[in-house]
Amino acid sequence: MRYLLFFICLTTASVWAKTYTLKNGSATYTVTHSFKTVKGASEQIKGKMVCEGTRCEYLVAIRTDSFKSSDSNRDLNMLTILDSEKFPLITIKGNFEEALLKEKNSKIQASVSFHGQEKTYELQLSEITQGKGSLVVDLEAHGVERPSLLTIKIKNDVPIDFDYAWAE
Amino acid sequence: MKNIFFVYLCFLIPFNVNASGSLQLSDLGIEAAPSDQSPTLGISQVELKERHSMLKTHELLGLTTLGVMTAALFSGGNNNAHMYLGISSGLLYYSTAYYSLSAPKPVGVKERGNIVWHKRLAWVHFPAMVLAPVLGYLYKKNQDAGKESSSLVKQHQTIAGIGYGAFALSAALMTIEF
Repeated sequence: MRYLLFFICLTTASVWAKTYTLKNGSATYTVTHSFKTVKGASEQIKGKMVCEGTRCEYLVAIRTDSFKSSDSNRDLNMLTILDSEKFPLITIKGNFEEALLKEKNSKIQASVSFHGQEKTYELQLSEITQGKGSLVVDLEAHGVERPSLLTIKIKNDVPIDFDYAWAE
Repeated sequence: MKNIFFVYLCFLIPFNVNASGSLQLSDLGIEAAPSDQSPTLGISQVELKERHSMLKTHELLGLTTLGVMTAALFSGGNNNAHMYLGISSGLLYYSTAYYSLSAPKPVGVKERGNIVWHKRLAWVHFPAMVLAPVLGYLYKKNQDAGKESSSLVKQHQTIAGIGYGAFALSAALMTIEF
């Protein structure tokens, strides 16, 4: 009887977990150089979020070769620089207090795996379940050799902006 | 008493189970290990690097060609300097073209941006760079023999100028890009 009760308890716990899937999402990077600013976007973004008890955990993945800018030659150069065959995915994961789900303008920790190296950033979100978010990636911290134009390298900090909508 | 404890536990478990860090890529429908997922452009990383390296050489040679072409243009006239600069321009131009044409090509990439005009302009400067040296050679040969050149041969300067303009514009389009 006790074991049955315990089993029911565990089952109930997993049933009560809320699972969210990323329904619509896009990620846009902005590369800045002294002479010009370039944007590239991807809509091939997948994500899942599970809220159990008092905390939520999320995982988002974007294919490196899915980013498109205004110049196809630049996109191919990006694949070379980012070793896209070896590191085809950019993943963002982390967890946060479930209470933040109802709040606006929250900041959560995001562990970003990019170019084979993981680093933690602060992810700023308008709302957790839908809206806009942004984080600033440090290229050199991920071992990315910055491309240059007329011997001047692009800026090391690359903001990535997200548009997203999670559905339960 | 024991049952009361378990009922209490039953209420506690759902509220205290925290997100356990268990989400995996397979939960997103990404089954293969990341390293097994090759880009879908039909070009390997080795080929991408080779392409990148060849196009860097193409860029460097192109800018050198532009410099020598400029010198050839300003040394125009009946002198040996113009002839040698013209020959050098031609050799450098075809070397530049070789590195572009033989670089590995990705499959299924729709070209966008400056590269489109960079390639379109080749349809202008390539014929010019075929004709200009031939016409220059004929012009000099006729001049040395004291013969009058035909109207087409006299267009050497114009054709070389058009080729130079298209080539300079093509180079500029790629130099302002990264």
